[in-house]
Amino acid sequence: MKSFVKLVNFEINRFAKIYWSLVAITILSQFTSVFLTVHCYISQANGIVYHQSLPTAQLAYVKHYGSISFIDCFGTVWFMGPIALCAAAMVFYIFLIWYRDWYGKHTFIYRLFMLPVERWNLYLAKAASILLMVLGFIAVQIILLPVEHFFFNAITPRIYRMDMTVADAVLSFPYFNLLLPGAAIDFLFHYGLGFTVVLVIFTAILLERSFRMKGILLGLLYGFLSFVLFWTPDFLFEVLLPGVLHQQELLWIEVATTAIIAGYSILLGGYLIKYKATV
Amino acid sequence: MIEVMEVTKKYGRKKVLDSLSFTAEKGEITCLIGVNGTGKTTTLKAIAGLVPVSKGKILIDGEPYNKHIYEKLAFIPDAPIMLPRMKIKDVILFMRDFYPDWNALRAKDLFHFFKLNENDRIGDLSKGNMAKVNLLLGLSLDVDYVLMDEPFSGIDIFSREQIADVFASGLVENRGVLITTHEINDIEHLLDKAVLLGDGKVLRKFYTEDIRSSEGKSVVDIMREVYRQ
Repeated sequence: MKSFVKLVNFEINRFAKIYWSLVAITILSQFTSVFLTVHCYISQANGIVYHQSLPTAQLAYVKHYGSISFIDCFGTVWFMGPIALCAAAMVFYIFLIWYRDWYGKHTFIYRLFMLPVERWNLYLAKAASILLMVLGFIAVQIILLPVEHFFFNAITPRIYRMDMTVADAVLSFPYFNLLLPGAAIDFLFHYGLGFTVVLVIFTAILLERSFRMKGILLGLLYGFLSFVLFWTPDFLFEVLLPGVLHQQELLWIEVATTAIIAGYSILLGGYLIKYKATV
Repeated sequence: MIEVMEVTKKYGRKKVLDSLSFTAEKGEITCLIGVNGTGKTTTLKAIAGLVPVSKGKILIDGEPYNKHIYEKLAFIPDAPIMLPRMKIKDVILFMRDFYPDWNALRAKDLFHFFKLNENDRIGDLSKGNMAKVNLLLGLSLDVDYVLMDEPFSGIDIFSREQIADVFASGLVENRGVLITTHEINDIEHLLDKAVLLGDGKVLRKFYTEDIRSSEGKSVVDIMREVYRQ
């Protein structure tokens, strides 16, 4: 266990500079989004209000053009861009976390393989690092939202503002709903599924590292079979036998299927890294 | 004892090791000799559990590969295997953290012996200094067997002498050393056993003392006989 924690710590430290840069970009970019959204709205409003020169012009503007709410800041490239960038970086890193150890300037995989730890700890440590980094990004976003909300309130005149809570804003915005699901079960399912996809990719990578050219085909086949297994309950109970199960029951079957895929991915990955993968 | 028993390794259709068998005992320096492409490095990697073999068995003190073999043997490759951005002092901390058998005192001695600079980054080291760091990392582990892959390859004469001095010192005493090298002259007088490989097979194996006393020949003489045939 101690070795596993050390490995996770080591893996995270290897990506730390890029990781914190991404966090910094996210913070700067999202605050820029809030500022620009409010600034644009107020500039436009001020322009129209100035020409009308009426004391009630601001109210008339809101009535005619609508008020501004925190959710308006979400729909910009400045706000969603860094989230997409972080997501893309993590997807890229799922592959890089393995291949850099083989194809980096120095073949660090020799050292990793020769550590006096069970080799499947390497597999689990890399997977845990990815999971922790993703959850870290989510945590940063959860912390950022109330601060951005406070900033939004601070720079937007009360008369133009439609107040809404952070939770309401997040739940009303479809992309955020996907990133931060409202219900705990949805959160677990989304991120559990995402983590399982990571495990399937890891195992496919190890198939490639073990059997090279043949391994690429085996990896693709493995990914395809895992995908088929995941969609089997949906296909069975939504297409072939609709109405047999409630949505909640189907969800639990999908959770079980996902757990099975994650389980055999870890077992197969552990076997490959111990007995088949080559430096 | 390291026992390599009828080991075959194939890369695709190419047989790199072909029913290879030999042993390397504790307290002896065994040298794997052969021209390029005869499977010397693959043999060391297979013993170190870094490449799976296609057929045959490798036992370390009677046990097949398991995580505990790295508490018994150290593999010193001829290429850098630590991250380029790490400083030598970080590498030493990394090893100390992960290896229960890390001997900090010996590491310190070797560090001074090789005159290394702890703030140098691995990526900036010369080939000679990299070889020294690899030796430091391998020899600072309290293990019974040390596998060295071409420790003299591509480095200057002074570094070679310094590395050869390591063999003459007490650092490898009582350990089993399995070494591959082209620069046989540097360490011929230190070798106990030689295993000559050709096309993944053992062409000849002998104790150096035996051929010196019985045939009056050196390892190089035997190499000439075997490889010029």
